[in-house]
Amino acid sequence: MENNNEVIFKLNDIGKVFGTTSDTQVHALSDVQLEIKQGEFTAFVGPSGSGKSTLINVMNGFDVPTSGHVLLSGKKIDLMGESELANFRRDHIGIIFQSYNLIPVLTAKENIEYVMILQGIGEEERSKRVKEFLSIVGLEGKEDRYPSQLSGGQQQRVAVARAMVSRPDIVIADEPTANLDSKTGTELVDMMLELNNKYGTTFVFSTHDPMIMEKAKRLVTLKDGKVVQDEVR
Amino acid sequence: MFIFIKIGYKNLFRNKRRSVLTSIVIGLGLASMIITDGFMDGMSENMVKTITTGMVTEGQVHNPLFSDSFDAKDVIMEKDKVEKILSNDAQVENYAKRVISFAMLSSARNMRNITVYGVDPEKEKQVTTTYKYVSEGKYVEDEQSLLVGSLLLERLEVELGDKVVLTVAEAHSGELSQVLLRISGVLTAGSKEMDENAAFIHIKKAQSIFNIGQNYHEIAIKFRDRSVGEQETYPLWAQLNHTGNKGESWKGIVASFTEIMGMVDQSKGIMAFILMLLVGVGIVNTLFMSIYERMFEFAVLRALGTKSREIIIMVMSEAGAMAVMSVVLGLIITVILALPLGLSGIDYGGMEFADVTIREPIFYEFHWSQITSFPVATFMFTVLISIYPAYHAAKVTMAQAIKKTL
Repeated sequence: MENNNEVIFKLNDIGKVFGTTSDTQVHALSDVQLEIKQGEFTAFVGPSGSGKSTLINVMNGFDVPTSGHVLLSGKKIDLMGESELANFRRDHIGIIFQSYNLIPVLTAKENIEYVMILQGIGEEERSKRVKEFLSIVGLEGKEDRYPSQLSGGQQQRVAVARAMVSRPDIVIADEPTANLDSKTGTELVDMMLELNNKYGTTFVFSTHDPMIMEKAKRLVTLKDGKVVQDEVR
Repeated sequence: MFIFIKIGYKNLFRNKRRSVLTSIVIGLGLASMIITDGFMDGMSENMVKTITTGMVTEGQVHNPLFSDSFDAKDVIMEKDKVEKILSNDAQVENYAKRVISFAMLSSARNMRNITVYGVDPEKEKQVTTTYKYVSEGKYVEDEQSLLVGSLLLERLEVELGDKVVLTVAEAHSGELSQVLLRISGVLTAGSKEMDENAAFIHIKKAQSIFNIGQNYHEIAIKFRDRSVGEQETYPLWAQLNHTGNKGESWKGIVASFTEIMGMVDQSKGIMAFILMLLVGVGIVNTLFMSIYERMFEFAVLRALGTKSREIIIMVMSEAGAMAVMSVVLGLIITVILALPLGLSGIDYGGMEFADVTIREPIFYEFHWSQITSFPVATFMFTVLISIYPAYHAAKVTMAQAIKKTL
C-alpha cells in the first residue's frame, strides 16, 4: 500500500506536567508539536526520562495532556469522554505493550479476536481474520495455546496480531522489544516493518535499541520532554 | 456480553485455592442459614405441637366472661347451638367439653390451690395427648378417678392410691362443696404449670360438684388441618361468636407465645443479616485481593476498548461463578451437617421456652425455600456486593496500572 502523506495524527503544543505543587512538579512533555502521516514507521527515541512513554500514553489516550490537543483522524481524543474514547481507541488505535499483556485466561485465537468482538464483528469474519493474522505472525497451529504456553516472542506476535486485526488507523507500541532478546526483537520489528509495507499500517513506537532504530523510517528524538530532532529517512 | 462472562468465569479458577476457600466461607454462611432456619422451624413446630396436643388444643370456645374471671358460673351459652355448629363444620375433626375452675386439694398433711379439669376421657383423648403423660396409675376413667400432677403429689406429700379432699365453690351459690377422692393416676407432663397445679376428674363429677347441671366451661377443638383453624377469618369463629361465646384458635389463646415466636423470626432475620454481612465483607476482601493483583489486566482491557460497564460485568460474572460454586458447596455442607442431626434430632430434655416445655427432640424442619430462596438470595447478595470491587476495577487509571507492570 502506498503512503498517501495524509496526516492522521497531530500533536498540538502538547505539555504534560506531573505533580501539583511547584516543588514536586515535573514537566514530562513541553510544547511537543508533531504530525504522523499515514503509512509512516516512526520510532521515538531518547534517554530514560526523555518523555517517550508519556508521549505514547498521551497519544493512545491513556493519559490526558496538561496543555495542547491530540488529534487522531481529525478528532481531539483528549477531549473525549470515557465511553467515547474507549470506542474510538477500539476502532482506530492498535496498542502493543512492552510486557505483551495478553489476557491470560484467553487462548491466542481468543486474544486476537477480542477487539473484534468488542467491535461487534461476526464470528465468520473474525475467524477469517484470525486465521489470516496467525499466518502473518507465523503462529499457525498455536491458536489454542494460552499465553503461558507461548514464548515471549510468540506472545508479542499475538499482541501484534491483536493490535492489527481490527484494522486500526495507527498501531502504537511502547518499547515492544524491551522484554525480548535482540534476535527475537529484530524479528518482531522486521515483521512490523513488513506489515507496514504490505498493508500501509502506520506504526509509532518507542525504543532504546539502536538496531531497531536503524529500521525506523522516521526517527523522532526526545530530550527533557521536547522533540529535539525529527529525521525522516 | 458472553466474552466478559467467560473471562470472569475463567478468572475464578486462576487462584483455585483462594476461590475454593472463599466459596467454602460463603457456603458455610449459607449452610448456617439453612440449618438455623430448619432447626428453628423444627423447634417452633415442636412447641406448637406441644401446645396444640396439650390442654390448649387447636382451638377453644368459652363464655367471654369465663376467660377473664375463671368463675364457675360463666358456662358456655347456647351449648346445643354451639355443638351443632361444631358438628356441622367439615374441618372440625373432634371436640371435647371441659369443666374448669379453681379448687383446693388437701391431704392429711398439706393443701394446695389448683385448677381442676373435668374431662370426658374418651373425647379428651381425641383432642389431646395428655393421657400419654400418665406416669403412674391410670388416666381419668370414671367418676371416682382423680389424676394429679406429679409435683402436686409431692407438695401434698401423698402417693398413688391415697385419699384427698377436693374443695370447690358451687357455681351460683358460692357454697363450698367437698368430695373425697382417691388418687388414681399421676401426670408427668413436663410442664411445671400442669405438674404442680392441675388435677383431672371426670366431667360428670365436676358438673356435679360445681352444681352446673349439664353445662360446661370450655370446648377444646381439633381440626382436620391445623392451619385452617389458625386463620382468624375462618367462618367457624364468626359463627361461634354469634352465639355470644368466644371461639379462637390456639394462636389467640397463647398470644404471648405467638409474639415470642414472631420475635424469634425477627432474630432469625437479624442473624441471617449479620451472617451475610460477615460473608459479604469476606467476598469483598477476596475480590479486592484478586482485583489488585490484576489491575494491569483491567488497564489492558480498557486500553483495548473495553468499557467500564463491561469490566463491571466481568467482575460480577466472576463473583457470580463464585456464588454458584458457594451455593453448591453450601448445600453439600448443609446435607453433611443437617442430615445426621435431622435424623436423630436435638434433645433439649424438657427445657421450657416461652412457657412451653420442649418435650420431644427437635427435628430439622425442611421446606423448599431453604434450597430455593436461600441459595438464590446468597447468589444475588454475592453478585450485588461485588459491584463495589467491580466499580473499583472499572475505574483503573490506565497509564499508572500499565506503568506498574513494566
